[in-house]
Amino acid sequence: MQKQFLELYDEYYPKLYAYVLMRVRHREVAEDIVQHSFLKALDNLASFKPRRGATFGSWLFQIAKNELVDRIRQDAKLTFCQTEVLDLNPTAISTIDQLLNAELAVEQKERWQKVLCAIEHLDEEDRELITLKYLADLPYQEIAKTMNKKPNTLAVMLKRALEKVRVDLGI
Amino acid sequence: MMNVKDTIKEMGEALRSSNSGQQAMFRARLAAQADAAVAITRPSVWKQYVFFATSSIAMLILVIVTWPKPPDVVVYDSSPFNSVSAQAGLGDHKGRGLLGRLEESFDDAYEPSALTVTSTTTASPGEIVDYENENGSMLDVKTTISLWSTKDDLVTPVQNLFEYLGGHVSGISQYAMDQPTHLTGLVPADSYFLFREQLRDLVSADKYMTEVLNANDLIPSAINIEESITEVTEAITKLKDDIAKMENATTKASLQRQLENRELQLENLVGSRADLDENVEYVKVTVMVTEIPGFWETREAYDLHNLVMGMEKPGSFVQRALVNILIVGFWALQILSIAIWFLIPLVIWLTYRRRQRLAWKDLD
Repeated sequence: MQKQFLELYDEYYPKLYAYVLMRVRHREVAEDIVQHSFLKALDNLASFKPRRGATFGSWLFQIAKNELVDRIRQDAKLTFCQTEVLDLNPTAISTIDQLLNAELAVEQKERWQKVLCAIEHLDEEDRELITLKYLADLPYQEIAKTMNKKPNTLAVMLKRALEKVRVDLGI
Repeated sequence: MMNVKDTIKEMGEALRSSNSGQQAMFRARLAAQADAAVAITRPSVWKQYVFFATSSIAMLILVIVTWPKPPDVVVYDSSPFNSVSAQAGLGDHKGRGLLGRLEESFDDAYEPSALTVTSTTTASPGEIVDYENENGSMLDVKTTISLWSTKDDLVTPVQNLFEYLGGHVSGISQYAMDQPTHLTGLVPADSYFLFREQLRDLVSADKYMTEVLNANDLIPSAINIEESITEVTEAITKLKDDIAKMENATTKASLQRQLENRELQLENLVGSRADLDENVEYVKVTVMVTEIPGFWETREAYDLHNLVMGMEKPGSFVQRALVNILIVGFWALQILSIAIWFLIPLVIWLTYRRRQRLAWKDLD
């Protein structure tokens, strides 16, 4: 039992962390939310009754989203576009360097920063979709359950969202 | 030119691996707490299929387990009467010919052998003599009459019938609720036919189904003797005629000897008939009263069920054809239900999964 749960933990921790970090832009807060989510999942494991197509992942992300809602209410909305970040929340991570806490090549850093800003300009649903699909690397099936949409609809939405990002970047 | 999708994916990989240290630390903490005895499931579409398959198999098992079974007859050998009225002993003592005849008829009879078990035990001649001194002589005709009833109490009327006709019940035994009740008793030989008639009337009046199994009785043996007597009498008449017509003295003497032999044979046969009448005072009868399971309310339905289950030998060609049709129909139904519960969901699931994978692959 323990082994199984830890296997799920190993699989979903990085995904959940990536997703939450993108939402809160604060490493400690993201870690805290992710950990709380896992503890909550463990506590409520007995009540986990998967409905059609539901998975542990979609259930875990739902828990995390509820946690996020509470935190986001406390903090102002943050963006990666530096000027806005500073205005809204001085403690938030404003650069990709800080976000990843890693050394990156200048060219790569600039490229990523631009893409993140473009994603930031998308509407809430598109941003959520890109985050779940490419940053959290969730399969369509789990995203469908998390966002309550059909996989095929999501695929179309994703295609359009990427198009918007390209337009924003002038590609 | 920048590939947006690949760039985002690269970022995702970097993000996901950026917190491995904290992940490992929290894992250790979580491991200590993750001993909740709750089954962890990773449900997906295949689980539904497994559920489907399991439930269909469970249903099949349920059908097999709950399939109505005919009552098993346990060999009845517990009454004091049985220990004395031994088949072999009495046969040797007085009725060997009759018993031999009856057993032969039993083998040829069209009947479910599982339902016509009659107890036979051996007894010493001394015991038989003691019994006969006390109760009078008897002929054990190894008769088992089975009554099928939807009512649970047919025992009392049958018992009363034994007594009404001057016999008595020497043993009643019921093994379990779903087992037949055995009534073993004696019926005066001259009332035996009446007993059977009354029994038939009794069950038909109460709408019971009845079947007399192995009810061979005194008639075949009596008929045998009567036939032999007729045959010998005719031979004697013919011989007498021949002797009257014959002129040759030698031939006449030869026919005369044949006539004497025939007359001796006739005398023996008449003696046998007299012995038969004299010796047979009581007939041992075992009546099995079986409550028909509710589902098989008529004897015909019950017989049909036994036929289909291979418990009876089918008789006529039409009957065999009917049984074959029923068996084929039954299996066709089984295959159809397996298809509905098992194969069709499997095909749907496989198609769905393939389509989804192709769609996602294309869209990724």
